[in-house]
Amino acid sequence: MRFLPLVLRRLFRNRRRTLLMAAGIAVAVFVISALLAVERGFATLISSADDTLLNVREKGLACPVTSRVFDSYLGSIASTPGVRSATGVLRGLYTYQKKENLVVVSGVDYEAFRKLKSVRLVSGSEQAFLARSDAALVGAPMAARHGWREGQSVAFVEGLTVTVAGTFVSADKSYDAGVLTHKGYLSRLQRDEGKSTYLIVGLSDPGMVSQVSQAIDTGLANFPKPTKTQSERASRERELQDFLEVRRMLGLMVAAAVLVSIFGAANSVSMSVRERLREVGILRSLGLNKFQILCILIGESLAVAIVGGGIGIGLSALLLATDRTMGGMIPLGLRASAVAMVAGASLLIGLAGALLPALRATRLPIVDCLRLAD
Amino acid sequence: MKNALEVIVTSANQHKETLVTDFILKLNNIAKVYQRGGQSVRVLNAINLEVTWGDYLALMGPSGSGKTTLLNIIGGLDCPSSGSVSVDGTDIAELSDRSLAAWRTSNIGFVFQQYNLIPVLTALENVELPLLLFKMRKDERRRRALAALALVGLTERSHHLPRQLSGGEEQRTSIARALVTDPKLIIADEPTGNLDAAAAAGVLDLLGRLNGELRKTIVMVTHDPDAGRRAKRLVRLYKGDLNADHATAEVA
Repeated sequence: MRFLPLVLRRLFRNRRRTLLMAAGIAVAVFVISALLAVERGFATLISSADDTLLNVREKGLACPVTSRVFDSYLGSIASTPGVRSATGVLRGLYTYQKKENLVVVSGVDYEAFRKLKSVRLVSGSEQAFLARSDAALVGAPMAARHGWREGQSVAFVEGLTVTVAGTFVSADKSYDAGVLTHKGYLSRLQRDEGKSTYLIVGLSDPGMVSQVSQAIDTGLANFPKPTKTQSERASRERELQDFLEVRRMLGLMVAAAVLVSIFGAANSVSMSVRERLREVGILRSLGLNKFQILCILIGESLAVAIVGGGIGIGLSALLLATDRTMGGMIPLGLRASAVAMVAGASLLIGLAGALLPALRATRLPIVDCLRLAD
Repeated sequence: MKNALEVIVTSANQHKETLVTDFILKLNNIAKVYQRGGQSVRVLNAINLEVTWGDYLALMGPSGSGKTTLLNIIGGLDCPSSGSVSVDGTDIAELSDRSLAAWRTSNIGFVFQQYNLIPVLTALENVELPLLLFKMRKDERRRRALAALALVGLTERSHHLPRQLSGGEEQRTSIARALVTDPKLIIADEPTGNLDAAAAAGVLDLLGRLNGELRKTIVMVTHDPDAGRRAKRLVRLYKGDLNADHATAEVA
């Protein structure tokens, strides 16, 4: 601790090198924390899906988002033993002003939908929503992101226009980050009358997921579009599978980026230590022992890692503050444990970079430190 | 100047009263052999040397004669291949690496030919640096460092970085740093080797005062005959052997 001023002074007086090293670590930390935030978003989407609800989609589609099932199936499903209630949801992806502002609009039969999914209004009223055919309830994060207010008319690039009747939060975060409107209104606009993207089925006995799923699919086997029924959570995982594949690829790229960052930091510190062999010799001639010098060299690297890590985490926090839903699709989030992990990773980069060259420098005889530097 | 001396010197006079021996330094059969390219190179041969408290010894000799090696061994920067080095009764070859480091802090002040100041620290911070190893309040540390700089006439330059100082000023700063811990022994390795005549004279005057007024024991390696003449004793090394030992008055 008593050498801290020496460590800080060196870093301050070599500002350019310090900033470059810190920037490298900041980028690595930012990438790691951004990935963790996306990871958290996926986990939230999956875990907020209800295990006790069923999801009926068109069978055999590579992309579940393009699924279309007929609303007429609801009659057959309602008569299946074990089914409490069912409703259809029609979904569409819309663009608000800029192509990166994607919004998932869900058309629902509100009364039936409310029996199966939680919707808690933050502002506005259900009456206002039910009173207008083009009314919309907007997920609170989405409303905050775009500054939408009650009574405002929101026009999407694809031609859909809705009037905001209120904002809501839902336990199911896939709705939270989007817009709810009347199914009839949306299906007319999309020319999807009588169809849904998927059907939600509530069970009278939550323990009958597999039996009821099988019964629904068997009952609809001879209809024009056969179905695949599974728990909402399993369906959500299937829906996100392609994203999860991308995430895995991203994970590998991030691992590579972190390794490059570690090697870069190690190289910088190694060069810095090499250039300072004389200084190591001087400090030892003044009476500093090897451990104290090791602390100074590693302390410098750790200080850079703390600054770089802090900047990286700060940038991630800034990203989250400006876009909590990754263009409206995924509810990004960073938990304290993830921040601690990223902070730990940045310290590890600093430590790993400094340890070996610092150990090598302190093991050299003093006279060699003084002589080799000449 | 008197105040500065009082701040720095806490033990120079006490040393004389608590002497274990008349000799601050005793070298007994010191030899040094390096392994280079698979061959043994003998740099020092059975050196025996005694230095009394308050002495000012100059080590002279041609390049490669082993002067710096001997100085490094005396200062605990290098270890002998055989023989013993005793400083104020402590056999430094017996000390562990950590104890030797602590011993150097309290007992030895180094003055190098290349000055060896830390480039990112100001003159004052450089002088303060060895005091970080002592349990000392920050204001006391600062007071002692300023006193040491005053002693070498660099009060006005205390906030300058080494690159903003002349060679002579850098060397005086390094002398202040060597002095600030009030060491028993000051070791100077060609302290005037990089200086012009005027700056060298200033540094030699300063070393002379440290020896004369502060009674600091100084062992100095030098090529400079004038520097050698200013010492009280002159020892010549030739190919690792101690060739002659004279009082400088005798040499003159």
